[in-house]
Amino acid sequence: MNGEIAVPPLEAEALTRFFGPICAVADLSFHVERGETVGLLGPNGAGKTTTLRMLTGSLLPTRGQVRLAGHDLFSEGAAARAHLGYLPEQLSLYGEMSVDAYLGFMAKIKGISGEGSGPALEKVRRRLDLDAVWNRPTRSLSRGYRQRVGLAQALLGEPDLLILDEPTVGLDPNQIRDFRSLVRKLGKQHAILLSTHILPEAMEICDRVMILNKGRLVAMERPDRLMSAASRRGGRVVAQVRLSRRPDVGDPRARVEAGDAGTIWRIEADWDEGESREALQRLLAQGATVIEWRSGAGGLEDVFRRLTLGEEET
Amino acid sequence: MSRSGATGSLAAREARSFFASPIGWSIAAIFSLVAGIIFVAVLFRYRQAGLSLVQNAEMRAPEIGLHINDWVVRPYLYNLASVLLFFIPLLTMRSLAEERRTGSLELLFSLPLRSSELILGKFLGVAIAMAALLLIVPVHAIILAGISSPDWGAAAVGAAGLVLLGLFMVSLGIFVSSISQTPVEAGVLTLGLLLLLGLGPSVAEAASPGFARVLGFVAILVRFEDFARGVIDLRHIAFFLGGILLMLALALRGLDLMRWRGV
Repeated sequence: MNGEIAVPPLEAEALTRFFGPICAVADLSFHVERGETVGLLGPNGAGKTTTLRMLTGSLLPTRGQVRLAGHDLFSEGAAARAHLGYLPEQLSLYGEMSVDAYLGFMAKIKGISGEGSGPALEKVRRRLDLDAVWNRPTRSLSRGYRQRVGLAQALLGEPDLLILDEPTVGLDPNQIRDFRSLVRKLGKQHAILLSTHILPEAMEICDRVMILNKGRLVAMERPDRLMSAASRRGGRVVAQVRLSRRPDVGDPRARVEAGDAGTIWRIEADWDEGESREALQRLLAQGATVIEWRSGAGGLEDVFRRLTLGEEET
Repeated sequence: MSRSGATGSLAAREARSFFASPIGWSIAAIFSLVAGIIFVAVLFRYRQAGLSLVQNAEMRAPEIGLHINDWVVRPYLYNLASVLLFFIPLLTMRSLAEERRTGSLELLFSLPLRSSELILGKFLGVAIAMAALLLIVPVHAIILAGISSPDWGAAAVGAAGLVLLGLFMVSLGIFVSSISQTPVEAGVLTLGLLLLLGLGPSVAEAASPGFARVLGFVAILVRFEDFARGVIDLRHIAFFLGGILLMLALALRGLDLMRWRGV
């Protein structure tokens, strides 16, 4: 709404939600600053949807607070939501309406009417490149254009915060590239919370990622820091050694398979730096010739896997 | 921020969406056909009664009161009110339950829209659709004016009562739609409740006079009968207006429930 808001566009504090005895989200606290794009990651059932619904006002929390640009979402609902633009994953446009009628309708609901309406609609029309479909019924739009119209309605009123739920699902590679580029541009002017299960997308677009697991926040970090932490921790080691007998790597979890002629052995294991060095020394001591030794520095997927399997917390 | 604009926009979209589908036009056509059949039937009955009167020399029209309001206007409006019991659920069933089914309610909940504006917008939208269905009534009135001279004041009271009754039914349908998961569930439940309030008292009378007394208070067609006769009873007006407010307040609680359970 304006550029001088000192408070973060989104603050969540101890957000908790139970469904009966099941805790879907537990004590979730975070904030998103203006000009920042934050990714919300997590496996299915981690609590992402529940979290987004609480942040957008369609689900009440059992306890906790959400403030949008300083307004409490639950006690000052309409005033708080005036700072929010939301693109849900299951976007339902009113099929009988044309794109311009739909956006005009959404503008009125957001309180943009009269003289302000025309320029606001024109702005999102140009920004989202909707000229080709402006007068077409929304029911006839492709998935790519539907997403653009969805983003256009979210942008009406220039909200401080954009919440985008799985925005690239169902798009083709070109549309995905365009959409990500658009989100990167928007991220400079708005605070964006982006839910995605596509890890490279989070790496590419987000300034920070939050990883939810079983309703708990298990990581909140910049993607490059998560990556470097993953590198330090090692990752998957894939090796080939020559040895006349079965090599002993000293780790029963490692997979050792016989290769050609019974003297080449393929070894796969998840080792950190220390474990990797120890295994290598052990093999050399047995007289093995190392043909290949690859240590996959764990990418974000590796971090994600570790965190969501409950191995560690960041 | 013009908040009445938001309510008006919601109402206009709701009304337009009804007539944007072939189903909406089909409902309007069937309602007009049924209303037409009722109109012709009451006129025919009136004509038959008139003919019997002429054939019976001992009787005189003024003494037995063969008045067009009693023979045409009143039964026409009463039967139309009974027909509305079946048509209103078709108008209200989609309002909130459909938004919930398609997922658009999740987006509506994220907008700077108060719950009261959402409910009022939905109510007014369906009320406009109902008013469009009832446009057949003035058409029949014009035809009636060509063949007779009814008491237009009494007829207007009856028509106003029909609108009031219709608005009450719409508010009940909006409430039911707010607590239903699907449009079909909303439609069936609304129809059931309207039949209970409309026809329940007369059925209960035969089974249990005590139960009938309880249902008597909420007997919407019995209350409407006075309007159809041209009688303005403030108790009935208060009942319908109070009922509308109660149903809309319950619909607001229905939205709260949705927010608590999750859309």
